[in-house]
Amino acid sequence: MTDDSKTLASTSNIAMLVLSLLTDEPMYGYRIIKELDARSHNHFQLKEGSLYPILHQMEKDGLVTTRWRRQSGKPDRRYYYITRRGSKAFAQARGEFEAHVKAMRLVMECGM
Amino acid sequence: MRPDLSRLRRRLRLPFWHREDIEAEIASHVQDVENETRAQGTDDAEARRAALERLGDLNSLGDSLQAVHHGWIGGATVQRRFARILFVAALVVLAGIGLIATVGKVSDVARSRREVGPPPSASATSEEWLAGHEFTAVNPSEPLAADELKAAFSELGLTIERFTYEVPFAHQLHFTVQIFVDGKAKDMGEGGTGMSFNPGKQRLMLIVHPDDEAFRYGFAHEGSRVTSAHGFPMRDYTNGTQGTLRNVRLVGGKKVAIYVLAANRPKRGIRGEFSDRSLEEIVSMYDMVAVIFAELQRIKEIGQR
Repeated sequence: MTDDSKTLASTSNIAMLVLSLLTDEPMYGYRIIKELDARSHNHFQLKEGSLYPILHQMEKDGLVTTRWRRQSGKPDRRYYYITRRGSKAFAQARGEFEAHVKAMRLVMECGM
Repeated sequence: MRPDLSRLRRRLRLPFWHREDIEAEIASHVQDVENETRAQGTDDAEARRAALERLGDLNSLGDSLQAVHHGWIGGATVQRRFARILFVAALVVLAGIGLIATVGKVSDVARSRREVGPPPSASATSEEWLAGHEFTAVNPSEPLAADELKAAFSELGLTIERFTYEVPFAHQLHFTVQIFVDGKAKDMGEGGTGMSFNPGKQRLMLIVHPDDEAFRYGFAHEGSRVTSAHGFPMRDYTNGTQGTLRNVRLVGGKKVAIYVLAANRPKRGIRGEFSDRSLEEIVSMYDMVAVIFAELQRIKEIGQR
């Protein structure tokens, strides 16, 4: 396991899901919650209280970076952007996850 | 209106610009949830309550964020904010160093003149006054005086006004800006900034920095800072004058003007102090008037109507 994937593992699978979303486009916290909920057909209903410490830890680990965007007549929003390090960590974690799922499927299909 | 996140704030033992950055993100999130809930037909108070409830225990969220941020200088947005503060501090320090260096040079020159002669006559030339005399310049050890600080901020293009007041209940001050052009109010849309305060005596600082591009302002209170910016162009106006209105009385639920910046287009040339004039009078006198209003609002307990 590389340092990046260790970092990712330590911040749980949610970090991997967040990086997956940010690969498409930068997002702010509330949008991340909504997207996770919608894309997983309500399987991942993340609490705000859980998300922000994870997002901030990811920023501290260099997996994402942030930028405030002004909004007309509304409070500014902090957008999260995936970094090069985040993309690399995500590609690696995704590869390991797919290999793991494939191996599990092979075992389970043999038993059937 | 910004939600009350004082319980979260109390758990964050971080520099104020760092804490404010975190709080602004959570406040923006609460506002998003609140707007969405309200759009579904829920009333304002219930929407705010539901949005805060979704955040869960603010103490616990504060502790989790404190654990992440402890010993960390912060992410990109915090560092940019920190850099701005550091830049202003550096300018003030550099201005101070420049002053000290200048005073040092004067002092060196003075010390190099060892002979002390009799005082020259009133008709003596400058050279005769200086020749052979010592002029002692000492670096004072006491803190900078208020007028020195004011001059330093003025060099940076900043005007600082302070307010103190006392309100016996938890409250919010909601600030809005209204621009009047040729005596008519311009539609500014929503542009308010809210700050929550505990009961008792309060100190508030208003930091105004009008520049060629826009009129900008910020508020500071006990280490926390909320800034807001207005894109109203200032480059078309000159001969500006500004001031805190005298005898400001905060009234519950009513917008009260606390600060005015007024300016004319080039070649009109009206100047003057207007701090004891009425707002209507000022608006009629100037081509452009920007007014900061403060509205005092009592904070009710959650669920109380």
